Amino acid sequence: MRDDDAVSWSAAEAAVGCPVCRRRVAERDTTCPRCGWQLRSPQVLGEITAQLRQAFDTRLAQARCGHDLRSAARVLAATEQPDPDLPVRIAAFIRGGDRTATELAAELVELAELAATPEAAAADRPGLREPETVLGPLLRRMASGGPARIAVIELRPDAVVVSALTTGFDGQPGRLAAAREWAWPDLLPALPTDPDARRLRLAAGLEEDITPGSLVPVLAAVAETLATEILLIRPAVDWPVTSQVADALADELGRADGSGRADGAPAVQQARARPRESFATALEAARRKLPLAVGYGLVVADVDRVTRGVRLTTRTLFPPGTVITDGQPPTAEVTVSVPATAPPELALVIVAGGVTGAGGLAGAEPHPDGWAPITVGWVAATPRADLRLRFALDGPGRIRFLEPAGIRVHNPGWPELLAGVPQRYGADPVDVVCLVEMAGTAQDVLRRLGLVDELIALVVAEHPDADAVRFVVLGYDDHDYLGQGWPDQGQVVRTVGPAAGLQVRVALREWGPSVPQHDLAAPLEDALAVAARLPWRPGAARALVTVAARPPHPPRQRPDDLTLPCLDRHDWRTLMDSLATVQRPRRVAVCGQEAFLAGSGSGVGFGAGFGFGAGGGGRAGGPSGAGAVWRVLGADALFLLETASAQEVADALGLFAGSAGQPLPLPLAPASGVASPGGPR
Amino acid sequence: MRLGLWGATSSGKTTLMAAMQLAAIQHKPREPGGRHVRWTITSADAATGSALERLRSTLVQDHRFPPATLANTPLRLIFEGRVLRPGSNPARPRPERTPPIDFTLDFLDVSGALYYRGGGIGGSEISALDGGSGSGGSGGVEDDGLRFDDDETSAPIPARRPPDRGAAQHEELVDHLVRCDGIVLLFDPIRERDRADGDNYAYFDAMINRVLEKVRAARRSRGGLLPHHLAVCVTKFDDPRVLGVALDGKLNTLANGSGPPRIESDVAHRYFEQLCTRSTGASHLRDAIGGFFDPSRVRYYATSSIGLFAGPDGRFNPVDYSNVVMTGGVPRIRGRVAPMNVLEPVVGLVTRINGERR
Repeated sequence: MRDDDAVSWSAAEAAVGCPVCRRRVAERDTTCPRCGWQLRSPQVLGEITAQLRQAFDTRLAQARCGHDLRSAARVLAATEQPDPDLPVRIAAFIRGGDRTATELAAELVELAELAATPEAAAADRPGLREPETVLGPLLRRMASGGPARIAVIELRPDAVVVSALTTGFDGQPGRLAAAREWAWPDLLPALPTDPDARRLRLAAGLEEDITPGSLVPVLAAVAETLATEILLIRPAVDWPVTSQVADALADELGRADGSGRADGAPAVQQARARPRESFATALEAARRKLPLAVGYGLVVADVDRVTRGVRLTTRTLFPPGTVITDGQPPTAEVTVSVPATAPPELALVIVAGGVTGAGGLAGAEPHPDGWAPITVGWVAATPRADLRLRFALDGPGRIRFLEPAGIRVHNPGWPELLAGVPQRYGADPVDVVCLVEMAGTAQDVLRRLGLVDELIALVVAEHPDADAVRFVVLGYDDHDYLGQGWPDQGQVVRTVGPAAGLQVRVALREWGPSVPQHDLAAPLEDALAVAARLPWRPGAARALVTVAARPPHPPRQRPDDLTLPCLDRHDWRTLMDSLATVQRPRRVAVCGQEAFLAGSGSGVGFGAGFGFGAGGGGRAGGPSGAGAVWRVLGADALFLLETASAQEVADALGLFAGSAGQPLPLPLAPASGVASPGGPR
Repeated sequence: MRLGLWGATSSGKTTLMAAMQLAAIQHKPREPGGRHVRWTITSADAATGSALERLRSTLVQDHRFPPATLANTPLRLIFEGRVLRPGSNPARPRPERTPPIDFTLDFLDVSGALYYRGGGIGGSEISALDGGSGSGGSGGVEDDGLRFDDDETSAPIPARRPPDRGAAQHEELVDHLVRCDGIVLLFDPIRERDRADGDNYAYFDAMINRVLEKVRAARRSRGGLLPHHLAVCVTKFDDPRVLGVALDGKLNTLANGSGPPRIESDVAHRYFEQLCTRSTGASHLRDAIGGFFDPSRVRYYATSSIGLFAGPDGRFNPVDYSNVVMTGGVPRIRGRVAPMNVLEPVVGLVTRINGERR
């Protein structure tokens, strides 16, 4: 026994306390109400001999030792963390006896093991169930519209904790929140400062019994939770002090709540903690057995083919009601696509309450901002590849990534993730129609075809979503004015596509130049007529590229020049106006230098500079207004064939503009499963 | 009977001659079943036959215009006209009792340069044209880049013509015109259309005074005027730049007739007057015609040696009528050669001359 305690103990003992358990006693008490020590005996006749005194001292010492041993055993039994030195340290506080500290410690461990058995704990207060058993029905009632909030009071060896159980953001009941904690000395200032001594005192009992006045802070905190039901968790090993506190709290809370409850439900439910098991663990175990209140899904991006707008939806992994049965976690599998432009790691976000492609979940939140992320995994994936994913549900709010291996779990926060999702992704689907004049010298025609080929090659090589760009090349040969000279029904037009760039490039290799039949015009209008009938994709952006040297034929003979009218009587202007109105293509023209000068409004008039013959006498008068023709064909951009680059043309067409290059950090919904749109990003 | 063919470079003199026989063959009565003269034109000598056959082949087979005329080429043609009864079977026509209209014409096909000023004096301008050097002065014949008809610049460059030879050819032409009974003057409207200084007048002016001098010397003038009957042919009337303006808004009228499209003399005259309002050269030419020729002996014709393009049905289409396609910088004849007002000026001249003689 440590000297300081012995001294103080003697003083207290001498005052009003039981010499064994130190409880304050009254003058009339003949035995200690707590430990039963005989405070007063009948008169002893005769002299108080030394023998008698020694016998009393021995009996008192044994009583004290026994009392302290039991108290110390409770301390050890309630130890949550392994502490090999604790028995020796505690043994130092045991009074009486002639055993060494080591012998005492061994005896303590033996006693503690007995005290830590459930039977021993239950024997103290039979009928108390374990927290998990009590929590199950409580949480189920909460999920089915029962109590919205449940106050939980935990009496721990070192502290009192008040928290509240609510429904989580994922719709799942049992979210632990708003915890407040008091160390025991905060509530009971008389406790020793030394932790071991304090525990021993709590396990032995205080001089004074606990009164409600000591628990005012706890009661106030419970009231602040606004809970309609209360769960009181007693320690696994009851100590006198914690037991008194629990009884006092139950009485006070039961009295206060009982006046207001009409359904007769118990105001305060009690449970006894399992040895060395935290309440959080018990709560989690109870929650695991609950069915999912809302479904869990993987967030995927649906990119609208028309607007390229990114809409987030979910692929359902675990529908509402999914529950772990027989301890086997359910699994789910989904295959997604990796965006062509993605960051090094793709975010696999599991949310509760998202909108799925199959009509969504009942009560689902349509806007991604309202979705509740459960977990976020990060996986390195190959762009444009399909990605097979497998998940396991370990319980509400607990998702485990099974496949592929190596998924890193890290949740940077849902708002931060959403901020990284572009509003638009990928290039717009574009239908590019190229009109190429095929008559002329091999050098000229190959230069025109070469530019078209380079343009397609550029898109194939560098476009982030080359499949979104579809090409049609319409090559046109000259009308046969020196042949029969009758309408040729558009047979002057060669067509490749609509097809992807690679296919078109292969087909173009078979094309060769043809012999010009007319200096002043070429049947561009026939190509326009074919272009107008092309199956332009709804919603796709459109581009019309004209690579030519000569303007189109007029629909009828004009009185001002020798340009012959189109044999098929096509009116290029009407066709172009219709195309511009209906299909609204971006119009880019690439022409020869003289046509360029005429079309660019550089001050060189067509009549003098177009180069199809002097505007003066003879039979070679050129077409008037050809400059206007090129300004219409190249309404958005007009380039000089000799200097134009494929990159310039692509830029003018806007093929690489927009958000195509911004990476999409989320997987794409597979093409086969077109999801209905969720909330816009 | 002798007729002179007068016109500037590339005005279409040779082409007109090449088309003459075709015009005769295709000649149709004005009205179906109406009075009609069936014309037959034959060559009076082997040289003429050979020249015309070559020219026709160029037009019809090659779809090209004849190359430039380099040397004076005398052409002698025999015109035989048989007046047919109205309504007679075209396959077996019955001649009228009217006597046949037969005459022989002597043409001298020359280079247009010979008509150009100075061309007949020292020959220096002609020589310069032939050789392609020494021109470039304001007085030279401009290259219109057309390679058309008798445009010398487009033809294979001949050996340099000696100056004395040019002078001799010029003198031969002047003598020819003096002896002529009538003159077919080809007026090229394209030369005037876009040029304020169109040079049709220059080609006319350089020659007409020489002709008048010799006519007076021969005491053949009539009241100080030339005695010749004159047919002014406004050529290239198939050209959209001519026809489209001359018949502005009235092209559809050409499609209304049953036969090949006809353009009356008044259209040509009106168009000529219209050109005179904006072309100084044309107005000078008009004044010169009035100053040298008896106005009663002057007629105007809307002439096209190749005619207008016709579609599959053979009808005039106001939407598509040009019979020339420019290919490789060269005008090519697109469809059938259907001369328009080629035979008529000649026949008209002959008729008037013969009428006077009677």
